[in-house]
Amino acid sequence: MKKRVLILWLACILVLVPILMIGLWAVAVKWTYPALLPTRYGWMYFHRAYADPNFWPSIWNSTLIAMVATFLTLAIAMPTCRFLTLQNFLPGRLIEFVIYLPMILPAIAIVTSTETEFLQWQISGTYFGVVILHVFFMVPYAMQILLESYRKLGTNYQLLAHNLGANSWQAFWHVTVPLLRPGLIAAASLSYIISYSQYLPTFFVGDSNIITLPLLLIPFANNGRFGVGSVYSLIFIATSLVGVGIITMIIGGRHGIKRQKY
Amino acid sequence: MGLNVKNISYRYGKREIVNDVSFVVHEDEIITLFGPSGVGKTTILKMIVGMLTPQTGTIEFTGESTRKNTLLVFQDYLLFPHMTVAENIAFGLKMRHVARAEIDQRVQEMVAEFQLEGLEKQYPAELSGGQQQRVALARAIILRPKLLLLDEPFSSLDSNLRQQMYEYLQRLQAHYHFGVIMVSHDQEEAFLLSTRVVVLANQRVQQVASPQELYAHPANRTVADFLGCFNYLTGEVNGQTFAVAGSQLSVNNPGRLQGTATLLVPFVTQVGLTTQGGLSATVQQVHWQPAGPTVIFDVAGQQLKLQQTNFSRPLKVGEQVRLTLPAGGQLLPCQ
Repeated sequence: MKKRVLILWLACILVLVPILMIGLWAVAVKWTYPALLPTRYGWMYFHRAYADPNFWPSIWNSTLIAMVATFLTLAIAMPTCRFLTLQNFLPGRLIEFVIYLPMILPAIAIVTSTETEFLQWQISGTYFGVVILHVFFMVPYAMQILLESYRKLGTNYQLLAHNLGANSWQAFWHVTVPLLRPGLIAAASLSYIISYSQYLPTFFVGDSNIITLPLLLIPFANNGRFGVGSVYSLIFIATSLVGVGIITMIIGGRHGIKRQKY
Repeated sequence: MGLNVKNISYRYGKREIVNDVSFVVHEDEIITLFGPSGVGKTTILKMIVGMLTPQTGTIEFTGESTRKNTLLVFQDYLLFPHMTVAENIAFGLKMRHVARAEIDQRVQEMVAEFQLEGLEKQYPAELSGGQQQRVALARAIILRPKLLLLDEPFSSLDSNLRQQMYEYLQRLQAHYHFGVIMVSHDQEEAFLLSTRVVVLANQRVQQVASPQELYAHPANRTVADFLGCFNYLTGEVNGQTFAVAGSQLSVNNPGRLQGTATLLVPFVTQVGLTTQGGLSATVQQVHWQPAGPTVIFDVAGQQLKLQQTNFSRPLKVGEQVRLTLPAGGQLLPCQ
């Protein structure tokens, strides 16, 4: 028991301490060596971040792109996973390899070559182009989760629904989606966070027209400007959590699945 | 109202699941598909409701029966876990766009019929096995099917509850007038409930008959073995006479077998003792049972087991006796 409590505390520390550090940096007006804690606190960096003309546009762009990309990802992943679950002529290992392929290939190679193509198609610098490239990186994660969800669900519930008189849409909406809900929420949440945190795809394909939170955050972090960088990090964490909460509410939350009593 | 299944087969890859199965279901019958696990009973049900397509053969619905009013209740009930009891029962009516008021009324009727009062807002995970099964049945019967397919409906219930559900099903069937096709590998259940039994073995139909006919005249050794309630005595048959252990017994021989054959003697055959004639046997074991002792005899090196015996006096191990068997026993060719 003591060992378990110790491990739990260790896990909490590993998660919370970095956030605490970010919080400290965000309000540390003066913090120099050899001081262990900031010597002067203030909201200076918050004011600087807020004063940036790209502050609200970056939050809006990140949220909009992530929302659209998430639902597009689900729209692609769901029927694909259903098909892959029902078919029996493709080996399982091949399916997994194909799903993982976008993750194995070097991201910089994909992003730069995609930018070259998008320039020819004249969708570089557009929201559409950015969403498409985000979806490319999100689909493998969504499919990995949904494939497992579909495998666990099987086909019997849907067949039963048909037998009781439901048509395909009714069976999907009233039976499949509610039963897949936990998997959908997990896939959507992960996809949202992946899109929200994309830097290179947005930097290249966005063509400086589309500014998102990572595009503001990362230059500050790279240049050692921890104060403003920390402020943007806190905003990033808060707004991405809000986004995930909204997605969860849209998909429907966890209502209706009661835990087994005995 | 009925069903005509003709020569249906189903294969999964190279594996044959069902081969050339035919049977007919008439109005208000209870038919049991009876056979060991893996013989294709559930596959046949799924083909009847259209979940699987037979690769050969046809399934015809006659009279008022159609695929739409043929409903399947799965072995594990498959109650929708995200819906309450009331929502599960109402599901089919809701999908058919029945008016809300009518749905509520019919759900209330089903809740009362199946003794589910107070459970309407519970979720399936909060119900016992018997309650789940009643909800599954209610969900099907609210749609007033003409044909109800039950896949091992009582397999997960204890024996007391199972008896209650047998009576329940018979009462429901009499009240709502639907045919039933049931899957079972429990002989007692099949014999108790069925109008007729379809015996399946080796992916084929071995015999279709009433329980009495099946018990009295199993079509072949496969059926007899599967029923598992027969002794097999090997002897010589000549016309209507069967010779075994130096005795001559009167038998039915419609197949006009000649020479070596096997006589079927059910375990619960009522046998008497005699001092002259009869079948010579030695008592090997005697086991007391509430319905009457089980006695195992040696008949010239062959075992004869008799259950629920009612001899005029107690038998002792090692005793030599002469038994009178009923005339007209069934013969099978020797294997």
